[in-house]
Amino acid sequence: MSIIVENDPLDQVDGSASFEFGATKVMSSVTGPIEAARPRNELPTKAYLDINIRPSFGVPSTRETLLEHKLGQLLPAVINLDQYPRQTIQIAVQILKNGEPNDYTARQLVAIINSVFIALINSGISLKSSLMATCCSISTEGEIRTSPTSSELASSVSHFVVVYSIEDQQIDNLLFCDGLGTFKQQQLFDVLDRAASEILLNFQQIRQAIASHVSQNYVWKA
Amino acid sequence: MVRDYDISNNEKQFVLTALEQNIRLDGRKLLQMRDVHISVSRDEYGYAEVSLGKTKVACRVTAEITKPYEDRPFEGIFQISTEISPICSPFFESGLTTGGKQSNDEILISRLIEKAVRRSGALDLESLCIIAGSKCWAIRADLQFLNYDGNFIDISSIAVMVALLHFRKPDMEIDGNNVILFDEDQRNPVPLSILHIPLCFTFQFYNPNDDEENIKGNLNNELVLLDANLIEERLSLGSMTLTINKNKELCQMVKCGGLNIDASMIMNCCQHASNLVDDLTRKIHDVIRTDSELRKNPVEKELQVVNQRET
Amino acid sequence: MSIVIPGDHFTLETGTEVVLGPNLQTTGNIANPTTAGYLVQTQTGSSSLAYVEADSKRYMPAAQDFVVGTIVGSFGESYKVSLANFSTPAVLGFYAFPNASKKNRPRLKTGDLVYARVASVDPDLDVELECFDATTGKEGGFGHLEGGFLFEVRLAYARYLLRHQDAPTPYKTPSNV
Repeated sequence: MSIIVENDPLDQVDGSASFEFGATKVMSSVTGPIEAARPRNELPTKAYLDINIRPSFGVPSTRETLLEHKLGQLLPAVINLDQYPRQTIQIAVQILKNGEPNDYTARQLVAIINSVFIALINSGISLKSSLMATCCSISTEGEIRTSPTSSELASSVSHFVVVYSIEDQQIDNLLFCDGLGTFKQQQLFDVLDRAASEILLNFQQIRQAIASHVSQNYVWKA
Repeated sequence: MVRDYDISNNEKQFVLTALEQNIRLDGRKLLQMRDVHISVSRDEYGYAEVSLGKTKVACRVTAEITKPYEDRPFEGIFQISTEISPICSPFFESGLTTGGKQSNDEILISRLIEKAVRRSGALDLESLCIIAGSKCWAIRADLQFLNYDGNFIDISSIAVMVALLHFRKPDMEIDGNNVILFDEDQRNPVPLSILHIPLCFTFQFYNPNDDEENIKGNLNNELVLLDANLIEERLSLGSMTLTINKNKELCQMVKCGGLNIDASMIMNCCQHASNLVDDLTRKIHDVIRTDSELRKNPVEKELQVVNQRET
Repeated sequence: MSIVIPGDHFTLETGTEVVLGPNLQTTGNIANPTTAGYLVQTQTGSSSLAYVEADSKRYMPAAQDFVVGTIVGSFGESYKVSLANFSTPAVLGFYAFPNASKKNRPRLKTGDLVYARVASVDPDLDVELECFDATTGKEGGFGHLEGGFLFEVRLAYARYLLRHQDAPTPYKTPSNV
């Protein structure tokens, strides 16, 4: 899959990134740690994650709320939230191109997770490890496709979003796996293996994008 | 609790003193707009990205077939959504953190755009009617505010109009009570019927004197500037939005409180806006024309050349 | 100097005293960067220093930093000072000025700029600022700033300017807010 990453395109937020693969494009921003907007969002021991996802068209619905919930489950595994007690970390996501039928969210979730990770790096918020997401689908013939296109998704029997953490340039832990449709246990294991090798391969591009942005920020070091 | 930018007295003083000497932080003249960059999507219809300096807005237009409103059976439906996401600045809070309550700035922006584009009749609603009382097109324009550096109103009006002009709805045929839609490969999609292009121009006012001079005096030396950036907008004492089209029709004039301004100054603002609107309209038409040229398939281009040769 | 990202573990030398700088987390003698940046490891005598030099926009207060902030209000016997837009304000006591007393202390208004030193940072408490020199208790150039303009720069550039006296500057007055 060809990935296009844009680092820090936005001015007013602390970190931002756009992530594009195939027909899907998502822009994410991270601001924080900032003061809590309302007292009830002040958690005494850790930072509060304020996640806001907006669709490419129409008003946000339960679909976006579900995506926000999934992101909210994943992120505490990588952010050192306990370093910022009583603060808020605000994450805003704008989906620019769906790149898949409206009933699906797999490709969008992949782009959201990857763009939020790069935005978090750019914002300087303390992270435990690196991570990357990818999606796979199982066709009617039982064939596994990584990063399926819109039509491949529509004709698949099941599809998965898989997120692994990456440590020392190796796949480390499975952070998140979300599957929809019918599949056998062995197929799930195959999907996880395929996703892991796909992520290991593609993470080089993200790493490259992050490294070139760091060296851009330190032009005088060159 | 409302978040705001913390602008120090030093910055405030610096900006205002400079304005009094006809200098703006970015080197513009008081009534000069920032450069407008418009880009439209190549592979889909109805998507435009507009930037005005660092302010950036995208607009996507979509269409679907629904039932028209009971009291307006001969008209289609047109909606503009202007929810501001915190992606453009933490200054704009999401509906979630405020409990669904919009900030005043947000309400003001959506009302102004609504009035400028929808109520000025820019889009011909009657042309959206398919079968009176039962089927019509519902056109929806979703504004996505990406980066905030002042002047969301003017840029939104440009983005909505460009996206509407760029949009094509599928061609269709009516067969009794059935509607047949054709996809892009069968028949060329058709553009919307746009009656005029209303554009907003927002002026900000500053007072170099004290309040008394402003109310009672005859000096009339209040400072007026066009297309304010973030810091200028936050320091403004009052603003006025004019909506105007290239036929020099004033569609809307809004000034909600703020500094007292003499009628003659308002006339000057109108005059200035009507000078700018021609250029901006031409720019919008150029973008749309270039895009439709690029979209023409090779056969069509060939035929057009043949046609031109014959005449 | 190598660019590291979170998850790129490296081993710290055992037996010597290691001073850990910003953006590092340790478990035993394994260190893990918490953000992307340049890994800096230097050896001075028997102790070594390790940190990750990373750029960001939002200023996170660190003790003994010199900062420029905007007064956003006051409560009790202290001013609230904003060091970055939308961040939790820092606290500057009414008497954290040289020779300040109940009768004789600077009266600052909302919106005034102050040049101050970060006195203490604890994630569970408010950040405290002081406007006097830590060693002498004298003025040390801190206090209310009048006139001029405040330029916002990226933190990496601000640190670069602070460390390099001969750094090329497009502006004459850098700030590290």
